[in-house]
Amino acid sequence: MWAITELSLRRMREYSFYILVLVGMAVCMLSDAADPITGQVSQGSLFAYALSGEAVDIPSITVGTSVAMLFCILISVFYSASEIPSDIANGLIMVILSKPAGRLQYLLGKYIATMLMSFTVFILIEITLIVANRFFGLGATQYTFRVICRQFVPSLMLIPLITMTIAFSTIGGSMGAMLFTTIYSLFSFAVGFIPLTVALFPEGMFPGMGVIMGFVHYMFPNFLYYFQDSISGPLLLASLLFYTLAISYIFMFLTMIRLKRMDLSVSA
Amino acid sequence: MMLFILAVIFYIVSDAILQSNTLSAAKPSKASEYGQLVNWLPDKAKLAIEYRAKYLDFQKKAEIAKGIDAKVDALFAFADYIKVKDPKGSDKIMVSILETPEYQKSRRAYQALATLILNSKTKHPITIKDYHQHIDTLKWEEDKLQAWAAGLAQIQRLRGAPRAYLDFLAPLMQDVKEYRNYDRFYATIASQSNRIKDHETIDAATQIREKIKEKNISINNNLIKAELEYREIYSNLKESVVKATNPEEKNFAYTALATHLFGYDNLEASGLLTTLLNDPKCRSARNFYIPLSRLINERLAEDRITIADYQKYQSTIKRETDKLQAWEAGLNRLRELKSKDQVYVDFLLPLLNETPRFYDYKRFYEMLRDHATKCGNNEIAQRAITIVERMDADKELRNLGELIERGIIKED
Repeated sequence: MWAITELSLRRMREYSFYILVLVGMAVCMLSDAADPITGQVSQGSLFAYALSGEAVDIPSITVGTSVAMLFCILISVFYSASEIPSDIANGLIMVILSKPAGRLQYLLGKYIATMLMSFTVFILIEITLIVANRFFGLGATQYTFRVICRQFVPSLMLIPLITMTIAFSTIGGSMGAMLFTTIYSLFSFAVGFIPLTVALFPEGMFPGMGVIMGFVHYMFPNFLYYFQDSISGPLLLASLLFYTLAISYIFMFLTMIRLKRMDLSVSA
Repeated sequence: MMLFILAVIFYIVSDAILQSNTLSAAKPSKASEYGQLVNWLPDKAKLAIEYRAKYLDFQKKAEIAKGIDAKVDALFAFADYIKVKDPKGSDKIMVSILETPEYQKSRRAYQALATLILNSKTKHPITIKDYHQHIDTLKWEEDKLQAWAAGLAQIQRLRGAPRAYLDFLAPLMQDVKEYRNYDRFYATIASQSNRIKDHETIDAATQIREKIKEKNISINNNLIKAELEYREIYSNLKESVVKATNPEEKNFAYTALATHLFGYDNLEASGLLTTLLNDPKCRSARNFYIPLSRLINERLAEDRITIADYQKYQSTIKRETDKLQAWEAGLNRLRELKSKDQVYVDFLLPLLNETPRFYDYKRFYEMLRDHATKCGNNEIAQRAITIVERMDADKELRNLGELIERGIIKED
């Protein structure tokens, strides 16, 4: 499993990748001069309710982190969408599976490699932002210990996103996975607003929405949780962690079933 | 498979916790905020959602409104909101207010009735005379004023002829209202009379306007905008005033009503307290500190009293219970006024010349200590500290209530 992880990571060692990361760092540093993300949305709007929740004394997510997240989402979706399909296309998967490694180890190796890469990029960007703020006075937000800890909460979103993209890649190939992930994520964001919208508007505003919502909303992970300021305290943070792991496991489980049923030699 | 089921359970449970956290902040918005919630949508969609949300909001408020006045008020607000998109539905509600006897008697029915005056589009138009009869049933001046304004607005909407204006406003020439708020009605009478060259009416209206200017009194804006409950509370308090027979009851009831009236009808409020001040029986009543404390630094009252006046009265109180309560009442008044530290010090200062006989007074000395410290008067603060320490050390010192209970102090 670790050999598969290492192999996947080695394949990412390209100059273009490093340049991309450097560009990402620069963009995040420059954008960090803007006010925190929850200050960007107008008070009383649906977005303000979704992001801020109840008034809590929690540091906001900086714009630098938000851009870093966007950057990491793009990288992780791109890599997780292409890893397995490319292995299948060039026959590498058959070579790997001919060694004493099962499909589960292969899949775990791929997950770990993509996650390591995505989180490393995210951490590198965060370090750049902190250094730029502490030593050069850049950025609108003072990076205290609490602020730094807060910035890492949204990055948890990468875990289900990667597992989801890998799952889609076993069905639709790399391009299909990117497309599915984009559409599915957009739907997830939209669906995430439904319960809040229903609660904020008067009763009867959306007839029958309760039943539909109960069914539909479990079909999509709610990515809004990762950006809410009100997610603080041990219970909520633990819930977010369990939520992340549960979604990831569900997607991993489905991917494993798919991978077991796939005729890899025919695909190759 | 077991792990998968476990993951699904974890997913549902953690989602429920996170979702309830999100929804705990989502208190149903005010009607005015619905548009803001969806301001990211295209204008057409935003307006449609906003209309629907406000429609449901007004409808619900009309359904749950308690009390006839509140119900009529909410029904009118609902009908008024839908009048552009659903004129028939709106008219139905307006007519229902007219046709339901208990609604028609409401002090807020004028809003709906005004829209029906000479209205050719409604199922049940009413005449100017009908509306005048309704105004006559109104009890409060502020309601009458609002009713006249609503009716005049309807005549203006109908682009009535000068005669319609004059017919509508005619009762005001008989029953003259010498409030500044009515000046615009007399101005309208003068201008409309001018259009038909009715010089007699112009002169009469001009004379009334001059009188209004001379008298310079008006119905307070706070009273006009007061919540519906304001008059209900007023009626209850007024009833207590009528029922109050002995001086103690009078002191209490009159002061309660005056407190309710200040800011709305200062003349009546002030008059009530002056009545008490001028009544020797009330002055000698045990609880005279109630109206007196209410008048401390009251700018809206004619007979405002100073702290020195109050202290002078306090020195005449004989019964210990009354003395203690007079201190409490005075301090409550200072709290209401959000007085400065120095005012508290001035008020509590006489306590330094007394030896506290009861433990209840400790908190007054503590207050004196704190306020004196805040305004930098260390000498007074130190004297208060010494007394507080002495009170703490004195094991014999008891609360007044305890001594009365034990029969050590006897008070009627």
